[in-house]
Amino acid sequence: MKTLKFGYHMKLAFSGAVNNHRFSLKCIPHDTDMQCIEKMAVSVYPDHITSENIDSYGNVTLFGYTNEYHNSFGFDITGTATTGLSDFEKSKELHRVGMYRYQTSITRPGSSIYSFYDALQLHEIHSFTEKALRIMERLSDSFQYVQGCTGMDTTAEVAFKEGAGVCQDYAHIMLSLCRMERIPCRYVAGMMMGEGSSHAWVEIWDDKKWIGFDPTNKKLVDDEYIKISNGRDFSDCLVNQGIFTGNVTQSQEIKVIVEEVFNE
Amino acid sequence: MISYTDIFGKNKRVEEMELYVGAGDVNEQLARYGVKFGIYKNNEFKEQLFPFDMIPRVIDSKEFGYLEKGLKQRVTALNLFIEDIYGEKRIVKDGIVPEEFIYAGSGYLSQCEGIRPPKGIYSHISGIDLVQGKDGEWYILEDNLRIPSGASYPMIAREISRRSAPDLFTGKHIEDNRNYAQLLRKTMDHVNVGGHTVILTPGRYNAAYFEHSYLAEKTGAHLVSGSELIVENDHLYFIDYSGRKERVGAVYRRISDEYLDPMNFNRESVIGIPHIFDIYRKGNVALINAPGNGVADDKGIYYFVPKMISYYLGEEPILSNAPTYLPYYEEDMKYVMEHFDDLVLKDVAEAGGYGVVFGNKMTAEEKAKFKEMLKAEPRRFIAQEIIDFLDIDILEKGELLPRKADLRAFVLMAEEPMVWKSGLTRFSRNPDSFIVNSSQGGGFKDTWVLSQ
Repeated sequence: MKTLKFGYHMKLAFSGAVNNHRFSLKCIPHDTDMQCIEKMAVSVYPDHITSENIDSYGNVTLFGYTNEYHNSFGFDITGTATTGLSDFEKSKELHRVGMYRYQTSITRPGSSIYSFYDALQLHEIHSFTEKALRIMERLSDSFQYVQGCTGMDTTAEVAFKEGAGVCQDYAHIMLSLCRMERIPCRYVAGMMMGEGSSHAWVEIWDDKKWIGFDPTNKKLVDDEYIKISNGRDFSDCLVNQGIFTGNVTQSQEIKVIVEEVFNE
Repeated sequence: MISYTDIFGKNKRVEEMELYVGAGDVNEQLARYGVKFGIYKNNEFKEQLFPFDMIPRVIDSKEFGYLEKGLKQRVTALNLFIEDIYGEKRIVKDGIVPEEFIYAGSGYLSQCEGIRPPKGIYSHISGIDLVQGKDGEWYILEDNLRIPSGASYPMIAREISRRSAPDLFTGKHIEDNRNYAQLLRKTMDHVNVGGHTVILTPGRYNAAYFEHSYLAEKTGAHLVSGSELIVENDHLYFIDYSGRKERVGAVYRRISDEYLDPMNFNRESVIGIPHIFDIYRKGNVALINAPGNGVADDKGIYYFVPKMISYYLGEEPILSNAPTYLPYYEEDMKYVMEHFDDLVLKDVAEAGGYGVVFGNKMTAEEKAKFKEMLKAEPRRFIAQEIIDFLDIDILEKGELLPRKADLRAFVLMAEEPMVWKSGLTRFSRNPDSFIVNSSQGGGFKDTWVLSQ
């Protein structure tokens, strides 16, 4: 069990003024069986009225609208998380998590994932957790962490063929392989101890439990992780999604800091 | 079984028939009223007249009473199924419907998980396609729950025929079908959560634009496009000509799920309303029909509808499906391979009469290729016995010609399911074709339900 202080800063800078801006944000961590969130402060700017909702995957969604002209848009979130309250999240029965067993347009395998899958010889193993462990280990050994060679919408197959990518790609490839084995599994967006960007990993369903696997770091998810959202793939967990009027270019800045606090 | 010949004289010389007189006039009027549908061919938008045939399909009151009972039962079960799928999924747990028919189909939308729409209604307007066999037996051909169109055509055809040829109707005891607008209004009002009722159209380049405008006129709902609706503070507003915002409580949306809300579905959509789905989730607006209800009208799910009726209602299905085989089941695959020539095969992902092939019309080479495909993707196809349709007469160039026809019955769900006492009878103009879809050049007839 750890007490983690976190800060998540996102800023979108536009090259000119935009208005008629609609946005949906999935950036708020919430309590689960594994973590408890306290002292959270959320600010969204420019300052406009936002609504809150829970989506079909259980994620907190903030959505809103501003018609004022603005040159930047963003949010800042700070808070404290107590992590490691449990090793897993409790889940519904198998027939209620069926949607997580099927490939999406992002995770659908192609020839390169198929041949990798064949070599895994997963039929030798029976438990979902053991299968997922083998997938994670082999994937981690055969895929390189390199920034900039894949993009937001890169599919699992394209990334795997490339042989390198970021945490989002590791997660999508692992989802693809688990789903070929009919293991219900979901994409998770969140934060990890340290300083840098946001993180992504995978949860697999085994006997009414969601168990976290981090293929990027080849380890099981523990008390160094804070979960924000989950879904079938990254598109269910978009931190920021928006539509606005304005002929501009935009650049995004993300800063995440998670550090342990020690109570005297 | 009754036909038009029981209430009209049938003469050798068609010109002398009561029904012949006025036919040209009615079609001319329909054209003048803009009764058209649009189709895209080679990336070009074309509007076509929907040819109307003067000879009505006639259904007597006893027979329609039977259809009515069966249709109500079917639509009630379909609603319960959709509620179950986006909720508890009991039917999956109990092994009645295999999971992959739900999640691997195109109709299931995970965004709808856990949402219960106003009054728990998912399919407010259902268009159920039926055919009648030569033996008089009716079969359900498919369920259309997404945004079924077609009711406006018999509505306006009846109205114009009554005006152009009033004598035809004298003393015939026909149920008035001009009440569709009242039924629709009642359906929309029933789920309205407070505010105006609007009909949302993608615009005049949509295939069914005539219908959108006609139904708006007849129900008194505003006809709006996406740019006239806005989500603010968790509610939906209609912006009127002066810029004033008025609250909207029900949207009969004639745009498909994927284009409804770019923040929740297709991000490229420019005809949708951002965040409308978020406030629908909160119960602050009714969407007619409910998003995601396509999970129940998938061609693969069709096979399971009689099982749903027994499962949810504990009743025997009143109306039968056309005998259908699912190659997904080994036993059915074997049957399909052995009786390939007697079957029609349908691709579950296609609609509008596309992706339909007849076993006996393929060359040996095509057959072998198709069978390979079937073995590789058994879930993709259903196979059905070819029903010997009852031909019905149409009038063409002074001749009576027998043609294949189906019937789209409309079931509207308010407090209770209501079956419109009419329907859209579509016929194939090509004597050799079984495919009656308007997008493939078919025509339509009025459907007369007798009141005694």
